[in-house]
Amino acid sequence: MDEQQAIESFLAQRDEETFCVLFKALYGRVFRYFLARGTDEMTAEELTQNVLLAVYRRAGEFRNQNLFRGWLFAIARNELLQHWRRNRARIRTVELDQLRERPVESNVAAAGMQLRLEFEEWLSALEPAERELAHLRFVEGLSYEELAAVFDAPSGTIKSRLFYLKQKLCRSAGLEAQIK
Amino acid sequence: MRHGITPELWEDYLEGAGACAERSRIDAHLHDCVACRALAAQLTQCAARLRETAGRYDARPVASAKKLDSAWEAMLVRMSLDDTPVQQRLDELEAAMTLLCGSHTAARALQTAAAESPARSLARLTRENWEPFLRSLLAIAQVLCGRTGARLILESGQL
Repeated sequence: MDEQQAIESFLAQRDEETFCVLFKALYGRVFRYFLARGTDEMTAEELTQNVLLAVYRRAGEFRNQNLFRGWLFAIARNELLQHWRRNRARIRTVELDQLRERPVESNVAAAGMQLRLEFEEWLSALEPAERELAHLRFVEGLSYEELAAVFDAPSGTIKSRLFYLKQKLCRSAGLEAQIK
Repeated sequence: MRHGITPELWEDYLEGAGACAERSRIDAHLHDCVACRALAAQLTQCAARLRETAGRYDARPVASAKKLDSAWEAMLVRMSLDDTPVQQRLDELEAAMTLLCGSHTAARALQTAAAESPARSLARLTRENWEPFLRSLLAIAQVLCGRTGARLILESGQL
C-alpha cells in the first residue's frame, strides 16, 4: 500500500490497524522534518510521536483528503513551536560540522547523511523560514495548496515566497541576472 | 512587479501552471527581453538543482524497519495510557445513566451520542473528541432524565 492509499484508508476507517499502516508510512517524513528544523534525534522522535498521535486523535475533524499532508505538517510546525516555547529554545540552524562528526550506523546511513548535508549546504544562504518552505516544497513535495494550509497563507503568497527563495539561491550561487 | 510579471506569475510560468493567456503573454515578453529570458533560465536551473538534490535526499537512514516497529510499540503504549481516563469516565457515565433510566436505555444513549459526535463510535472516543460527545449525550439525557439528570451526567462526564 502506498502513502496515499494509507492516508485514504485511515481517514475512512480511523482504526488501529489502518493507523499502524499510516504511522509507518509517515514516520520517516515527519522525523526528517524535525531533524531539518534543527532538533536532535531524541527530540525529533518525541515530537514525531506527538504529531502522529494528534493525527490519530483529530482525524475526525479533518475534511479535505487532498490537503492531508498540509494538515500533517501544520500540526508538526505547531508542535515544534510549542516545543521551543516550552524549552525556551531559540530558532537555530543546523551546524553542518556537528552533523559531519556524528557517528552513523551503516554505509546507507552515511550516504543518507551526506545527501542531507549537501541539500542543507545548498540552502544555508536562506533564512530558517525559507529553508522550511524549501524543504516542504522540494523534499516533501507539498503542493501550493498544501503549503498554504501549513503556513496559513494564500497560495499566491506561497508562490511569491518560492520565487524570491529561488532568486536568493541564484544569487548565492552567482547566477543572478541583472534585470534592467 | 518587473516588466509586468509578478513573482506569483513567474512561479506559475516556471512550473508550467497558470492560465494559457498569461503564459502566451510571458512567452511573447521573453522573446523580446534578454534580461527576463536570462532570469527564467537561471530560476529554471535553480529549481532543477533543488529537485535533483532533494530527490536524492533519502529517508531510509532515519526510519529503518526496526526503528519503525519500536516507534509503533511506543505509540501503542501512549494510545492505551491516553484512553484510560476516557474509559473510566464512560463507565461512570453508564453507571449514572443506568440509575436514572435503566441499563438498556443508558447503553443506547451512549452509543447514539458517540455515533452523532466526531468520534462516530464509543471505541474511538479520546480526550480530543470527548467534549462534542458529552454535549451530544447531555442533549439526549435532558430528554430522558430532565434537567437535574442531565446535570448529574455533566458532572460524571468531566475528564
